[in-house]
Amino acid sequence: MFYEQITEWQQKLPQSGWTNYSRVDVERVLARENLRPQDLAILLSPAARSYLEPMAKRAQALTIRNFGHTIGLFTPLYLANYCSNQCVYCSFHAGNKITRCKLTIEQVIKEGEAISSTGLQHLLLLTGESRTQSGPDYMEACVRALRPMFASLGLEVYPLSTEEYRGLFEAGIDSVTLFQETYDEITYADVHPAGPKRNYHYRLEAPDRACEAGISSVNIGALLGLSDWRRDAFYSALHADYLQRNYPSVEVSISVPRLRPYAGSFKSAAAPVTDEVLVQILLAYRLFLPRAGLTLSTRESPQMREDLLPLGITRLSAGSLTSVGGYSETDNVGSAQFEIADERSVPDVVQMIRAKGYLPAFCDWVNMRERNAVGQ
Amino acid sequence: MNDIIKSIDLDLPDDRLLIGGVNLHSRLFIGTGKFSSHEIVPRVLEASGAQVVTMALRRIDWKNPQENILNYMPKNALLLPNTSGARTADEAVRIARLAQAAGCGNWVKIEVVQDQRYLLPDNWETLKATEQLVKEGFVVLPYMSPDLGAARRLQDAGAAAIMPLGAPIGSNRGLQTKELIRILIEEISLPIIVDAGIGRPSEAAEAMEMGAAAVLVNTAIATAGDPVSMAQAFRLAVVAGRLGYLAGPGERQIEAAASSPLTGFLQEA
Amino acid sequence: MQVVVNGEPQEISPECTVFQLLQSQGVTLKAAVVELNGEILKQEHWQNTLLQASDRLEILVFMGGG
Repeated sequence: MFYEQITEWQQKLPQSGWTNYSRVDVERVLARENLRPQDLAILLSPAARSYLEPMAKRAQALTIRNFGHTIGLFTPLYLANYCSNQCVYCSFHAGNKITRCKLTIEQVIKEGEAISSTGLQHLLLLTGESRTQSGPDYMEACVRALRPMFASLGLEVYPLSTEEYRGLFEAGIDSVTLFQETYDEITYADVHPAGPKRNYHYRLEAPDRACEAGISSVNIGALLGLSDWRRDAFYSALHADYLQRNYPSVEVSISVPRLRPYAGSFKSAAAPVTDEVLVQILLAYRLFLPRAGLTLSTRESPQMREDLLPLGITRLSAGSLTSVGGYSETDNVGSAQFEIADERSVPDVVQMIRAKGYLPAFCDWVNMRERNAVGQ
Repeated sequence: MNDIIKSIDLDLPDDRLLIGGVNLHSRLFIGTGKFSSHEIVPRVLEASGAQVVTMALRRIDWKNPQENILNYMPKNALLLPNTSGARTADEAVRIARLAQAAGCGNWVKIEVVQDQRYLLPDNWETLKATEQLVKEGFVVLPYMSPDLGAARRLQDAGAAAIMPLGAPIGSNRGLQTKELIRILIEEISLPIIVDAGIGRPSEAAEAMEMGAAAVLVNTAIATAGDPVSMAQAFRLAVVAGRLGYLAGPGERQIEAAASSPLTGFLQEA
Repeated sequence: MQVVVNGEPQEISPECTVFQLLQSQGVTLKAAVVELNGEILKQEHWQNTLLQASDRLEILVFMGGG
């Protein structure tokens, strides 16, 4: 399992600073065609900071060669924000006094109609971790309700069992997003003081279970800034590589969420992920994983999203809301998970993508499995 | 010449190739077909430094009873009988069992060819034979056409290594399938042994530089003007290629960027 | 009586063992392989296996091969 690779690399990675790599090491890596984990480490080291431009050129060329100029569009729909976890970095934290709610099926349908009217065809469904309020049965009911309206549906919820993933796959989910948040076990325990999410290994192995259940695409990543970003970026990319090798028919992509303002007071002790660091991580990901998708959410500002687009991004969220519901004029608007930095509408995002010379794709992939009528 | 070569230490003691529980010191496997006589074979083997040697099983010819080639094998050679002649998995399995009964050890190279024009291996029959022979306890090295899906299945079936062809048998055309072999080296965790098509020592070195675990050479040596010298050349080439791979490729010029159109935005604070 | 050896009919005397047949043909016995009627016949059985009429034998040895 992937944990064995984490254990193996714990010893091999530099203990601090990563200053043992030199410019010569970076140049040697950039001369290689197929990068190995040790090359990834070099690209994440301080020595690579002076090579961002050549890395960017190569990343851009690689992305266009493997993905063309297409940028896939999607948006998230939060179905419920009840949560039994106490993640210190998240506004859904069980101890936070926020408006908790969950959408009824009728509301789900209304939200779906509102989103689908923007032209978006790929929808990502999210819930907080609550088996009583938003368990797999509830999720399945929402999925069946939304199925006829969208070309594909993704799920970003708490880790499920293989059987549960299979049930949701049968219902119409074809992709699963799950962030490990941090691969460092000590920090992981610190930032998840209570709740089922404390189980590091169950979460780490969830993408494996989803793949075994038949899910055709997985999206992973660390919440950058929670812990030492170099190690988290290294393990995120290694995790993606592991999934690609072990589940060759599954499409793997990585996201690059940075810690963002939220309702709470958590301040990370780790080094901040500056814009320059974010660029370095993105480029290292692309060079190490030529065929992995790279997803960028609306956590980043409009200008940042525009500047990052040519560096290897393949999917963008657009017109997003992180509150429960809110796309239609529904009464139930629960509190948001994090602040959106790019609030542009779908047409504005589309225009931005075109202006940069890329092709926005509303529908990149159609899940052809049996589609039921609404409500069945 | 021989004195110079003898004085070069070609052994890499920290770089053994582990297959089927055996730590091989030579990454050059030799095929014994097509030689002018059996007598030259021991000198070729000695010059090549090879440890793994292949041979075929054939009906004895009463009219011209040739001596058994096993009589010409060095004592420490690791015998790798092949199933050449087999057109189906069943035939390959049968030949493997016969070879084992003949006291040839339990290593077998599966070679199943239905195409008599190019002698390209049949991956499906090869997979079936691999599955059966792994069950019977053989150390199976399947010769195959480099297809990643087939290699994965062979790996799952328990093959001890994968032997993709570089070019059709006997063609001496080098690594025609280079890119596909590179993918196998990248994606398959078993040793990848390039077999068939290597025509020159430089091509053997090329395969080793790419990261192949070993190469099998037959025609290029057997049909050379001086097979013993050619065997020596291949020995040197395999070691050179392997050292080159282990040392890591040299630096190439990185274009100096006068401006930074892609990452310049980071400077504008 | 007649047996088939390597696809060719062969006349042999009755009461002939496999071992005797091989010996009569001058076969170097080391590492020859014998298949009798589709089954491998191990060396230790050559001396005590009597041939019957219409038996099919395959006698194989190792040759050079790639």
